[in-house]
Amino acid sequence: MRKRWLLVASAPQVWRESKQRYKLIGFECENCKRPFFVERVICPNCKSRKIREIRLGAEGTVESFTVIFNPPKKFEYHSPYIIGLIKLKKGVKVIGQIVDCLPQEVKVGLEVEVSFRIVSKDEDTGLIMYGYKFRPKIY
Amino acid sequence: MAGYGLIRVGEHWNKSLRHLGAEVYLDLVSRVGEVKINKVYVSSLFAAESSHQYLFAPLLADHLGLEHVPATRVEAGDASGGIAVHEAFLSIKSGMFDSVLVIGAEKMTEHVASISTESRAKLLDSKYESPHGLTLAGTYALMMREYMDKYSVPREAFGMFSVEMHKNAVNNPYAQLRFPITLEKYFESPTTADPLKLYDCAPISDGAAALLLTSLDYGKEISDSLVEIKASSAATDNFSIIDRDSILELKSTSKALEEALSEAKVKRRNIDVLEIHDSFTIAAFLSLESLGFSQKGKTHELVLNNYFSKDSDLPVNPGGGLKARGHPMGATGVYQLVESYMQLTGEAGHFQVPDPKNILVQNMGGTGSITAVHILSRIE
Repeated sequence: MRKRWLLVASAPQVWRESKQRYKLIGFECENCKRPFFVERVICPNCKSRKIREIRLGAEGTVESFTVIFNPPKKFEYHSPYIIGLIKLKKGVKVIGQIVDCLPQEVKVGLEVEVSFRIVSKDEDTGLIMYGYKFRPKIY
Repeated sequence: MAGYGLIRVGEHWNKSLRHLGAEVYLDLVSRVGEVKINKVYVSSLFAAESSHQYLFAPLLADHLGLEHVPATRVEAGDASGGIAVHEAFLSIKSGMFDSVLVIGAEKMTEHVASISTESRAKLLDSKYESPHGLTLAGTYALMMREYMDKYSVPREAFGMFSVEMHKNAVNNPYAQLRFPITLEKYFESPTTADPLKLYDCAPISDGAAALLLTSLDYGKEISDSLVEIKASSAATDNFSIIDRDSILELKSTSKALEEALSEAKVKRRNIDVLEIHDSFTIAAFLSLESLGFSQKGKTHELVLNNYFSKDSDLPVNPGGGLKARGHPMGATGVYQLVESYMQLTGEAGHFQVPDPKNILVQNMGGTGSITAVHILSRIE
């Protein structure tokens, strides 16, 4: 089958982004102390260039969620799947799949914890992207 | 604005992207004649993906017989059309050009739906959103759940908005979905990204629209039907929704609106028709609130009281909006502006609103990462 070049995963990209995805590393502005998750060279709040990495912890709550029934090609295998907008303890928000539960078990405010999983597999290259997903907190 | 060309939004299996662009140009020429064109802006989001074509703007200029005319493609997600007109407006305002052509053209039906979904997911952050399987619809679904949860909004308010849009589209010969729907049909429609149902979402569409912008002097030479662009503004917001303090505020829209009102020197109460970016029903609600035409969390009350219906004092999307006219992404903004031009020149036929003087047009890209706002006025 001819490879759809536009959709093929890039090994350098997956490698470059793996640290943040594996360890849920976030960032904090050394000047104004604003925490954030999207890696940047300029603080979105005070425009300082002094930014350091921080650990974001493994726990959060569901701010909002959706169940995807019309997935992109790459995620058809997983469909339907749950995606959450998760607020972590440090106050930053992340997007991630919610697993190990049924859609009807997910509610806004549900406490979740990080689970290390396969996020996607590329059919053409065989490249596997690992990273964070979230599951209901196990006490 | 001195003239337009249109084709009905739909599934044009037998027409290529370049063919759609050429057809609306010929339609424009049939109205205004073979006029001088100094520059072409082409708004097309997926030219490279759907039609494997970079440099689509010079290709189209060549096909239109516009020898040596400079041509540039504008990509601003599904705000490409509005942003292309914004750029065209600036180039005329600069004094460099008298006559600039904008052509929006998009083909969304070249591939199966899952590929089109994958293409649209590229409107999200490619590092923090789409790699997790989030889609454009999914992002609006996150907004909708939070909105319904926060303001206890009854579901039928979204349904009624969709019903209203379909009702309007019946009278628009250029609309894709020219059939009425009922609330029952809305509730029965399948879920695409919970809580979004199929009838919350704009369809997958092909389409093209052309708009001619001119200086006032040149416009008077070539056309009897002129519409003034009183304001043309654009603004951006935090790209990813995870970076926004609230996912229920469309700050690119409120910022662009603020600038447009001050540029045009008009007040909200002077606006007679709203043309808004209802790619999803929740997008319509949040847009109306961010534009300041309804209060936060109160839009459902206005919608359920027919405050925005076509025969009200403030009609919203009299041509059916993205929901029912259709949403050929990169071309959508041009459709919105052309339909508003038709309203102001009295050419809108069966979807004509009586005697509008000022129309506000909002065209948003992705999840609100960018918005173009135009205020158009009849020239007395």
